[in-house]
Amino acid sequence: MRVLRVAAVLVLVVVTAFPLYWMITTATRKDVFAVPSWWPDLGNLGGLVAGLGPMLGWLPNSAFVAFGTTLLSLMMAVLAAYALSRFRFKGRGVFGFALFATQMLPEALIVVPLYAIFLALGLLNQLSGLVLANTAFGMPVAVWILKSAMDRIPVEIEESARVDGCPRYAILPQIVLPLVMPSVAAAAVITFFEGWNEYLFASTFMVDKEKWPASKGLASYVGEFVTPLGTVMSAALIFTLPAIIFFLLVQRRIVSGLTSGAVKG
Amino acid sequence: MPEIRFEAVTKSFGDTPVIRDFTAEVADEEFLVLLGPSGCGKSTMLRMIAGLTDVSSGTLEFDGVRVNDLEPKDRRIAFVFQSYALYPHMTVRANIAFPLLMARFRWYHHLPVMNRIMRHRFLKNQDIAGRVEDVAAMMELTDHLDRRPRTLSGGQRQRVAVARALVREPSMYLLDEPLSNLDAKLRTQMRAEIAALYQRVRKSFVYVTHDQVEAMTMGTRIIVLNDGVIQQYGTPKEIYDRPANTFVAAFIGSPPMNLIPRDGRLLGVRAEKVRLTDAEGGPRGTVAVVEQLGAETVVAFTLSGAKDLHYARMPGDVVFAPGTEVRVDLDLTAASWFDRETGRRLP
Repeated sequence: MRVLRVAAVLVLVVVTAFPLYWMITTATRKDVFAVPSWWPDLGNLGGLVAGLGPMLGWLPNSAFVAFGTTLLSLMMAVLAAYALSRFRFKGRGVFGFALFATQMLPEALIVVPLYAIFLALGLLNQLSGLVLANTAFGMPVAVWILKSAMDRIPVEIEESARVDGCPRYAILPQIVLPLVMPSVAAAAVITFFEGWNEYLFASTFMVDKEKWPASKGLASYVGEFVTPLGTVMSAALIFTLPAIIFFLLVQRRIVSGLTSGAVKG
Repeated sequence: MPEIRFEAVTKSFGDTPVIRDFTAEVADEEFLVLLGPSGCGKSTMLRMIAGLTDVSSGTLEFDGVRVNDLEPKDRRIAFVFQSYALYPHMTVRANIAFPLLMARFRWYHHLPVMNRIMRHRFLKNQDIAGRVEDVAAMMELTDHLDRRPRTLSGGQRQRVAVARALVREPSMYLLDEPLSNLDAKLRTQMRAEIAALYQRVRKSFVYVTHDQVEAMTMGTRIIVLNDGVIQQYGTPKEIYDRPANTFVAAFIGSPPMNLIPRDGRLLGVRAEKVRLTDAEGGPRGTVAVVEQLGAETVVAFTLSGAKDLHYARMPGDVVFAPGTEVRVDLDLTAASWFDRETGRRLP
């Protein structure tokens, strides 16, 4: 039984890790048209670094867009989720449903009208404009993750806080937020990648080369006649690293069971 | 301190009335029990006293001051929830100290980083730390102060909830079925502890329960509720001896009061006033079930010509086989009479 389980895990690890591994070996190859080797060419690490110059300039742009999207989405999502979870108001169901509307249309369908709107508002070629666009797509998901987490918190805990003298505005940060932290972390990961990976809006809205996020920069390596595979792969490697680091930092918080012990059972 | 006055208090959720025309006055330092079957509105009533639920109409007064629109925190109350409602992310110490911290927090202390610093600082504060430890010692929680609620047993969580109520020295304690999640033995123990607590602090208590044993043993005043309407308000003894109607008669007492049709009215006789013998003559009955409880025996029987079960409380050494025919003697001193149609008590 144990052997089988280990074997199954190993297979999964190989399947998921291979592309990453292949990225590394390809990035260090001198001649991409030669028969591929299984091992990275350690003598060619310089080639990995070469041609990354512009990438280093684009990564901060990506970081700005990704962190901006995360912060803005979470701030709005926490408030919206709390309202959806706790308050009874007219149009609550419609509002909850309308949030999904953005998820139902493909982004490619919206890109033209959005372009027109951004043009009118002067948001084209602005990183903050990208943050807004990505938030529109990332936030609804965050709202629903947080709402379902808040639904699981017994209302008595909040009532108890009210009796204990906690003002209404402080109940969310003092009582509710600490209890849904795992879900906040999960929502943060999702919205972060929404901003980090986004390509369509970035490639349509951003004109100046120095304002490109890395996703668009990465694509620009692929030329019409030449695609320097080694450079593309090393750029892609650099592109994935910060995202992986962010995920590792946040995932420690994604543990459940924090609310147990609040009420009976 | 507070004398509670309810004047025609009503509560409806939408079109559904939950409390109807609730009028009563409760003197200070009483242990008032709101007693009734589930769904009778007793918890809603308690939540209205706490300010967690709005009063639809009518007036609620503490010491002659209308409190209808007062926030819970301004009513000087403490509330113990059925589910305890501890803060899972805080230690027992922080849970107990929470009301004290909130009393000192200004609005800017609630800001993200600020509140961590201030919470830490206030927890170290001599006055607060001292009060928390005093209360913890009183509730025998000293060894658990740095644990989280989820690592505590049900009884310990219940104690934390009571400690959190005690620490702010409120003038009124509101308890919503605090013992219903505990097992039978622990319940008896906590019942004694709460009664002792009442004797020690001598403040107003309002206690909600559906368990008439809790009501009879702890309460100094009982309000029996059914369908949102007060059935009777009185001392435990009054309610037991002189039930205002057949609902109270049947709800209070274990076994309930025997209601026997006689002369166009209903005769109410407590089980201990019924004597079954195997003598000849007199009114006859048939034994249906015998429950031997050790110190006493409860015999369920039917009267000849009727199907309703009645109960007799007899000494523990009395033995009847089910199916035996017996003579039924009723002691009619202090018996109650009820109107057959309305169920009301007849004077």
